[in-house]
Amino acid sequence: MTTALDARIETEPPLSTVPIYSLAEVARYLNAPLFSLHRTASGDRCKPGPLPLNWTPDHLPQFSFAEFAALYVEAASFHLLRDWSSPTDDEGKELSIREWEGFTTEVARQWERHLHGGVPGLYSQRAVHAVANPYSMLTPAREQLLAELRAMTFERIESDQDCGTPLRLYPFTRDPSREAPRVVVMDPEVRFGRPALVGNGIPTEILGERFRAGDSVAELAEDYDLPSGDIEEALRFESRLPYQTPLV
Amino acid sequence: MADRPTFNVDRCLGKVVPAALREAGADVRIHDDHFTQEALDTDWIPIVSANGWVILTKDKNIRRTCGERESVLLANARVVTLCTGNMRGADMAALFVEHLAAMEQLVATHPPPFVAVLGPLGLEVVLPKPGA
Repeated sequence: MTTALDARIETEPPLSTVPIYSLAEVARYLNAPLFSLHRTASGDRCKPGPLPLNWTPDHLPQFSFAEFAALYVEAASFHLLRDWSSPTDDEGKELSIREWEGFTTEVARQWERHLHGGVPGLYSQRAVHAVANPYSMLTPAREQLLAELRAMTFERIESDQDCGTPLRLYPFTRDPSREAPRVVVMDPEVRFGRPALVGNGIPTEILGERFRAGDSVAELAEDYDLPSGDIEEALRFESRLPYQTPLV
Repeated sequence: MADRPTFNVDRCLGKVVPAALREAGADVRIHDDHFTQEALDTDWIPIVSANGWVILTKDKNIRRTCGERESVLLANARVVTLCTGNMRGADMAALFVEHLAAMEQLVATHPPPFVAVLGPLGLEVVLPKPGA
């Protein structure tokens, strides 16, 4: 029997395209600059989108899973570029805090520029070279590494074989590699798309909270009937994220 | 107490919370006893709501309903979610047991749908927003 609820769900647009993530959540899961994401979503890279004086979080943009998946690939590039930045200049002199901040801001700015310039190709392998060009500091070897990282990150997204729509994403729980386990999943059908353990839907955030409160890995494994390896992987994933969702 | 509500304890609360609530006399159903571990939101939430069961969870996202989809799914749901914060399993269980009577009172007096947050200071209905 088809209920009114079934009918409403069936008439909804594809789940991947329904906004389910707040700006702050995306910033946390991607560990990406919040205001860069805001400008990206508002379509204006020069200034944030207009907000009324009495704004609330409801005024901020929301992201669908498909948008999140595209940004996930882009954010991997951002982090690699930032990691390559050295705290010393070419002569080995240490950068001042102001210079360091300036560099990070510049990487973020270039990242935004890429996001705006390459939106149609964001979710495709074709963007591999497009992203490398704006960054003058890239050597050919680093370009190759960046391309490999993007390809590896892209492989973490499971898509509909017919239409290419992203269905679920297996975020890295440890440093990216092709052998990295797929223990954590983000699936818009499960837990409203928040990171959870594969196969049982336990949110990683809750495991992280309990661990920080004092529960041991063994206690968590016992309470959830899970292998301790899965718990450790979830905690490893949480440790890669900022401690809390940014306040906005 | 007659007509005590049935609580559907989300798997994210582990085993310690339902065990403690049962010991305190609550009518408790464990999520995994009725649904597969792979059950989708669109599968289990409507069924739990149709049965009139109250969802107990620690999934704070369920109270930050930002999309139409969540609104549809939670259209008839009664949800009590633990407040944000780091808590050990034993502390979560103790908090639920301490406020069991208040939760039962809320269910008896507040028509669905609602999402209430349970914290050390008690229960607070956050959805629908007060005054909305």
